[in-house]
Amino acid sequence: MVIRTLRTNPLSLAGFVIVVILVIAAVVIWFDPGILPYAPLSADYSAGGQGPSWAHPCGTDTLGRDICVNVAAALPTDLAIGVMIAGASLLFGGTLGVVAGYYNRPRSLGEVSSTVILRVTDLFLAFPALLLALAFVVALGHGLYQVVLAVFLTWWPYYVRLARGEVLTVKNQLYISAARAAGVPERRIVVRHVLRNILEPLLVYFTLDVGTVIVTFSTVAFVTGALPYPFASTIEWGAMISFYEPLVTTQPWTILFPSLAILVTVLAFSLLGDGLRDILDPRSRRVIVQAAVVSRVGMGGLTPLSNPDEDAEMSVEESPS
Amino acid sequence: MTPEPVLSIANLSVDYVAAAGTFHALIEVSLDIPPGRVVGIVGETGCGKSTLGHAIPRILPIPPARIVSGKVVFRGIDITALPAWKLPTVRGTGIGMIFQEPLNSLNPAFRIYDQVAEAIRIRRLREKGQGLRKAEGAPYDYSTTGKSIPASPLSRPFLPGGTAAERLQTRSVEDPSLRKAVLEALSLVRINDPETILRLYPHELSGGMRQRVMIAQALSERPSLLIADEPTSALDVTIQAQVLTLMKELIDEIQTSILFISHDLGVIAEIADDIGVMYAGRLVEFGPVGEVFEQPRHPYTRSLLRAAPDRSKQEGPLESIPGSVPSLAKLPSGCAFHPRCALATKECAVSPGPVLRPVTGAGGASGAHRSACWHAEEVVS
Repeated sequence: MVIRTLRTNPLSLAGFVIVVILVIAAVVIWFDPGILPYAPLSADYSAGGQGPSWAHPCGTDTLGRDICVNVAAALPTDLAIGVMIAGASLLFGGTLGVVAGYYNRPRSLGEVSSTVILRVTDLFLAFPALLLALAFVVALGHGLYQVVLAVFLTWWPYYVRLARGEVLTVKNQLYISAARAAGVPERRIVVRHVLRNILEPLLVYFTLDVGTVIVTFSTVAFVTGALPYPFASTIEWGAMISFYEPLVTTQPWTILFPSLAILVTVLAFSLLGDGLRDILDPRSRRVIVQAAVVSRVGMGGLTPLSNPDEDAEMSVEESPS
Repeated sequence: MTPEPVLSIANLSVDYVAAAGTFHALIEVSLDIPPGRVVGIVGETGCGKSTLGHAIPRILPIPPARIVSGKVVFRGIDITALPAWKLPTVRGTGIGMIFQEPLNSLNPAFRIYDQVAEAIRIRRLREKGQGLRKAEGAPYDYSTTGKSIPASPLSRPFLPGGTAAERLQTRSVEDPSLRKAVLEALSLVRINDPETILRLYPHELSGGMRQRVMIAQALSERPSLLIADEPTSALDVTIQAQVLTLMKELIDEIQTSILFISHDLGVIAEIADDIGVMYAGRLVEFGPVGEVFEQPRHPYTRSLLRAAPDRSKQEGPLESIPGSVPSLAKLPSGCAFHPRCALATKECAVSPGPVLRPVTGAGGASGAHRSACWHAEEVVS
């Protein structure tokens, strides 16, 4: 189903394939770092400052550290950080957003909690995200957990806003009134009827957001030096770029490949996010599957390509009764 | 002695509070719905008939709506006094509802199976719930065999009912009895090939089919009162006729009390036993449908009937009511209809809106036919 839907959109399929490859690679490297040809950070003074070659596809730095191996070693960290920060923001911010959006009847406890949540959110949103994250790192100190916490603290308010907006739209729909009239308890309306209808925009945003988190996290690491490469226990792309930055004119490959890694990861998640919208929405799903059928038949040169929207409408005919 | 009504509305007033002012959508509406009767409510757009339908199970958006006064007593339970968390126990299995727009009343994210199954699950949970009460309405049967089943019990306000294991069991997607019940509910509303429909999403169905699913959903909870809020208005004429025929057949089969709201006199004439006419938030006339149509006892009803096309008489243009419907924010003094009424006297403009009272004279002897006009006896059809 997923593959069939994605096949109609080659870019999303590419994003999906890259994300799958990255995730598998990250899991393998995480559990078995020995699979890498060299140990990360191990210096080989005989091979210092080499450009890309068969032995070292991404070249080496001045001390002979293999760039490819270090980029790969950073993959699990960066991927996990991206997914975890965005995921935690989705859960935390999303929950607050649903509460603020659904329980906001004037002159009730709901209105109080809703107002408190939104004003605190505004407080965080009042500052540019990157500056706020940097300020948090300065306050919290250097280290992996500090940076993760700093980025998370700047990230969740966006999900509050998004979830609240979606809930406000959905909760005034007639089908929510209909569910209420059918005797569905309020809690179940929120958990089942409302949540299922806001899930799609939230998940799409989440997927697109993983890449943004990785960029922000790398930027924070780059600017603050909170994860000093190669001295911190965690290797991270932003920190690598920060460390190799003076070599940009003499040994550009040292900076090129970590940057490419960020680019590819972010791009893959963005492409996947676009395609995910089509998969998650039952209304567009059918149109896409039909478009796939039409385009496949059309490629055989037998059927003229027709407008998928028209086809979708035609299939909605009522069965005679 | 008349049987105790399923639903009894007393002096219900509802306001909408907006920046532009306070709109009196319902003004002291009193209405009884006896068991097994179909009560039709007619009126123009904006006369408060939908507000009435939504106020009964308390699904009005509050705010802007505000229940100012009055009581809605459903089988001995005062709904207006229930705490919000107990309301779901009255809705659905007690008071079912069919909405005006089938296009938006089904959740777009769920398959038809899930929509109907949820309603059946709710009923089963209520039936297992503590403090069971015997349903007073006549029992009805879903199976095609036509064999009658015992009256469906209505649970007392306790949620969700049953033990955790029972809840889990009724929630199971694999539950074959649930699947069977869903298929039966869909067959009841004459859906051909329910097996296929089960797997579809609402957007894949036409308006008529969606309205059938809505009806199936509402009926599968076996409500003692069904509120149908213009169930045919959003459909085109042929589908309207189909749905109406279906509802008429179902009324005979299920024998539940129905409050049927419509702006279409023809629809009401066909389906209802009693008819209530609403004007500017008030119930102005109430009576058995034949009597009201033959001998209207309120000038508004009479004008309304004259304004409706009659196929037996084809002479001349249709009569219209002079003036226009007053704004609910600025109602005229006295009887709201007096500026447009031919029979109006000084009394009508001054004295506050008259109360619905039994009409004396022809047709009103039983006391069932009531009018809110001072000059009810002078109204001639």
